[in-house]
Amino acid sequence: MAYEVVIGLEVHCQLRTDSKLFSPAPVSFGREPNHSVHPICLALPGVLPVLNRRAVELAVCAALATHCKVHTSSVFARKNYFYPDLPKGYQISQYEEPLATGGYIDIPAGGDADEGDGKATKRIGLTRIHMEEDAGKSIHDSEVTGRFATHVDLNRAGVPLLEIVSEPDLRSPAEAAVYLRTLRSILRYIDVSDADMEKGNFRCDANVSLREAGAREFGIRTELKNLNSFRNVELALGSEILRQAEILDDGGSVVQATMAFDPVSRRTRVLRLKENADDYRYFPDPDLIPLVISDADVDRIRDELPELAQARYQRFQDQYGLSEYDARQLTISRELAEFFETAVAAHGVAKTVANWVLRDLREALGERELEDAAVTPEQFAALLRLVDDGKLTPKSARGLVPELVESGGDPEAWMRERGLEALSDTGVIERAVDEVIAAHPDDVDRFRSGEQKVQNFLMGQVMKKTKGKADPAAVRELLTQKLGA
Amino acid sequence: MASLARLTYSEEETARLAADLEAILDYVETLGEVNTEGVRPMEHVLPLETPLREDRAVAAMAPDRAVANAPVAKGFAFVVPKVIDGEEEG
Repeated sequence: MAYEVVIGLEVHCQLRTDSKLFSPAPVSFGREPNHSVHPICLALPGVLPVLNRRAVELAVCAALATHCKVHTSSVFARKNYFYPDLPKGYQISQYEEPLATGGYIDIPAGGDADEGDGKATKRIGLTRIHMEEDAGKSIHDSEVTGRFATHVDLNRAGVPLLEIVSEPDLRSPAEAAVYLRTLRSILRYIDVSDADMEKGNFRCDANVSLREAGAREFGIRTELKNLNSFRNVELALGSEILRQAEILDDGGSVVQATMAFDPVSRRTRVLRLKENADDYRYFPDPDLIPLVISDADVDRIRDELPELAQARYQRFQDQYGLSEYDARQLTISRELAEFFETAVAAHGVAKTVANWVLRDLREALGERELEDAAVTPEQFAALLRLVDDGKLTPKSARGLVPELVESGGDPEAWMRERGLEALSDTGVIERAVDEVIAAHPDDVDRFRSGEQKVQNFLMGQVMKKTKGKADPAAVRELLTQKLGA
Repeated sequence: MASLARLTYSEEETARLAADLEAILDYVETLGEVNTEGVRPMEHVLPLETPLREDRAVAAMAPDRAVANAPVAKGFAFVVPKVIDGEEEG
């Protein structure tokens, strides 16, 4: 049977603050257990939570950037459950009256961020955005804990999180991944979060159900917990969709459950059966008074929002005359967009920089993020200038890009050290051309009898002879001249 | 409810507690007799706004003090009996 896939995502992202949401303990990553805690994080008797102003401002930023309505008054609630890494026995979250509701983000349509033509977008609704505190970390089954103990580290307990809940508007695992990438890009653009999945400060839970194509009612959903990479989000959703489809095909019904995804077996398994919000016994936290955000505060934060991807995408087309495709690709991340703009400022020709950034720089980066690369935009621009000035052939320049990305450096010094200077001595090029013509009499005849494409082969031979250092334009000119004679 | 609270009761205890809870809930239900039409739910008794704190981190507490009251600690982590996989909260 044909099913329609219905996916809604809940993203937890860590807000970029120095101290925790309700405690002045420092926010840290990778420290030894319990080296970043305070009596409030440990829920010692007599402590009172006090809300972090910066966290509120960042949350409002995120709400505005995603077109949500920020509520003047919102309320913190206790979500009660028992687990060793939750020392209070409840998590402070927002429930009935969240910070913001009713927003949206536009994602490239068709479920592929790279292939979109930049024009077609799909609007994904956001149900709500609220603030909450993170739990601590439980460590099981490691060499340190042994098989029979769980270790609890509360460094992460109380770290400020933003929960962003989408409407069930996503229709495929690929679309879910594109939504996540777009959302992450927005959060990084406005600098509210590192949104780094590897460090666990951008996590995703997915609700997924199937319904008969064309049906209006939603099917019974399952919730996939803690998907920790874009790839796992796609794999887990794909696997869960297959599982549900098999059940439905056999005439069974899906049981509402919370599932975990095992990246090794690529299967989902049931963690626990149906749970209700009732189970958490939410109630307003008596320790905290309602959070009031004035319209003036909201306006001030709105004025301070940096330029978002969509606006930058428009500006790149207007200001630099870039195609929609190039502008979309360059604004996928703020880092890439800023790298491009700085390089253009240093180099001068936007189209040249765009081509090299999108092709060679991105290829050299591979899966890495631009922040992790050593190359500066000025060094990149310097490399392109060497090509413009005819000192370096495009081929030699291309060969230097991976190393430049890896370690950074002065391209001109490298060029001289390694003897990569382009051959400008026409005598040397001419000799190479003559040798190639002499060595391939058959091909020369074929060219003269009208086979134009043989010229490319001969070009290639000359470039090979000169180890790629000859200026291609000069080679082409000489070849044409000599073959035509 | 017992399972949510991670408590175990005998059958007689469960029956007695269930009856007690019934009575408590019935009593609380008398609140339902009040007409609350058009009245906003109250989250807090005082008409105040929450004070905010500047985002300044203080020095973390000494880790040996943090785990000082733990029955068992190892490498500054709290040690608890192994939590069965599957009960984890997100």
